Amino acid sequence: MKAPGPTLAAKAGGLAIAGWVAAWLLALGALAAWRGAVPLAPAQPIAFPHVVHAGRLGLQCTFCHVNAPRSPEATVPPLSTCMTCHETIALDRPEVQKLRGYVARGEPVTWTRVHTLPDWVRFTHKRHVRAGVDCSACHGGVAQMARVTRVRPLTMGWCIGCHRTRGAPTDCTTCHV
Amino acid sequence: MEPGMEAARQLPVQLLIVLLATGYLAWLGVVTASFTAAVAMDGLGSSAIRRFAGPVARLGRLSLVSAALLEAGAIVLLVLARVRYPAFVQTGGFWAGVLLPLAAGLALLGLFEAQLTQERHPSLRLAAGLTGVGLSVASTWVLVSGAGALLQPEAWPMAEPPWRFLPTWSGTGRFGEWTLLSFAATGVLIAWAGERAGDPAVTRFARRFGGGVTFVGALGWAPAILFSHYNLPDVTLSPALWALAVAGVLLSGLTAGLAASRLGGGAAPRVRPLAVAASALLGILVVSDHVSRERALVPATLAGVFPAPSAPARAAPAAPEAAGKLAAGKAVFDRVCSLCHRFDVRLVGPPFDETVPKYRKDPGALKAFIRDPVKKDPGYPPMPKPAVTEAEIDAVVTYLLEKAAR
Repeated sequence: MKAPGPTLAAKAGGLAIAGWVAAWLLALGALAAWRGAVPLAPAQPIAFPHVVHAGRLGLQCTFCHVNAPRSPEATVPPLSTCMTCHETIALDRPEVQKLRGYVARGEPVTWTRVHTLPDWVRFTHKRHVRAGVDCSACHGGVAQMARVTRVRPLTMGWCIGCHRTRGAPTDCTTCHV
Repeated sequence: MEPGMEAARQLPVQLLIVLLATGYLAWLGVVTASFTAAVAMDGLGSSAIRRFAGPVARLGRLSLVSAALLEAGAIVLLVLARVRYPAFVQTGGFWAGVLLPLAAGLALLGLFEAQLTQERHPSLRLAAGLTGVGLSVASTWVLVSGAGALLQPEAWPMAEPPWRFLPTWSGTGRFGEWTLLSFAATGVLIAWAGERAGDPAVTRFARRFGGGVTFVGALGWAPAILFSHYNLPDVTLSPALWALAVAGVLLSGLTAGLAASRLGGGAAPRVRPLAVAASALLGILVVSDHVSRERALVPATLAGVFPAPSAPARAAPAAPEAAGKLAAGKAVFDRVCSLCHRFDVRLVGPPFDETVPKYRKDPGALKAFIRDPVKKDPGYPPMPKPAVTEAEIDAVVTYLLEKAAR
């Protein structure tokens, strides 16, 4: 038995379903683009391997980020810190040669920031380090990262959740001026 | 040790989680959705439709055995989650919130089904059916929404044992997806049951009703996916997850089209392709959930979730003063020496087990070397002058001589 061709209503219905699907696919694409707009693990000018320095060698975070326990900013170390070892060590590695190139040219390395807070948040590393918060609580296992990745949401709800759990103040002015 | 190896070793557990979760959610979904439809038919339908409520309720195949299997399935899922994600805090509130409403809900649904053949107390029957559906659905919300907490390890310390559990928006979105897909699958079954009702009016009703439920369930899934993905934490997102969402939306459109043409019309429904499509949609839902979990729960994300336990005291103290000096020496070693040296292996500098024993007869020479290092072995780079005080040198030398191989 030959099936009759689709009626006009069936064609219109099919088109409506296709339109509905297309609209939500577009929305999904827009959501994917929006959520991926800020990369969690941006490429860096020098592929500094934390997995080697903090992981295999077991250097303490504060060995290079000396300012974390004593200032609001943890700060990226000056290249002179790198050069204490890389004056003599691993000179054959391309990334170390890149580093030495920067030093030779007297040019600063323009690292891409991974962890950013809005301007209206007054965060200080010093207080958190001194309160005994481990770096990994906010930065994750940097020692296991080939390229630094943001693994925490850095949202206010997340901050407040931790403050509540640890009995830290949750007054607005603690973080907002 | 290697993350890849670890993941491969856990592959059977992962497969089991995906298969069991799909089966559990599909079965419970059909039970709750078919009972929802049966309760609606019983409460609102004409007398012919009301008689059809029985066959619809029976689509869930609810019995004492199947209820026990569902309850056991939930327990096994919770246990598997514990095996795969040992750090996750499963509080008593989470377990109770899943298991108790499920047991109570299934019992009430069984009562509703048993009373369907009787004409006594229709309003009590309705109340039992509605409460039963509500409790079964609530159990699934606790399970799925709580499983969403797996995607936010940083929030785990907030799930204080014994009773607090963490509901999540992303998990609530997944719960919404489950509800819609359950209706989509059950609609197919209702149409199938209608063909065997023997009453043309009921058959016509079942085709339209079942087709409509499948149509709405499938088309409604797309916005629900968007809601879930909007609420998923950043670390869970991956190209695979977006690809699964796209595949899901396309397949849901196809399912809705099939439902409209095969179920809504006057023709006898061909349920097999629709049943396959509905199962595939549920499979996509479960796999997406699992993919985002596996993406989120890597060592780098899990690190620092709980405050590290304080290191147990090493080195049994010989005498209090010596123990203090050893501890101070170890602190200096950890802070300074360990950057380049280990006792057993070559790192940047030579292993201490090779170099330090040479100084056993003359610790003063070791102190002098640390104070002002000179290049000794051409196989290593020169040692930079360490920033340590005289007291620290004294302590670390004690520690090195104690710890190095004899």
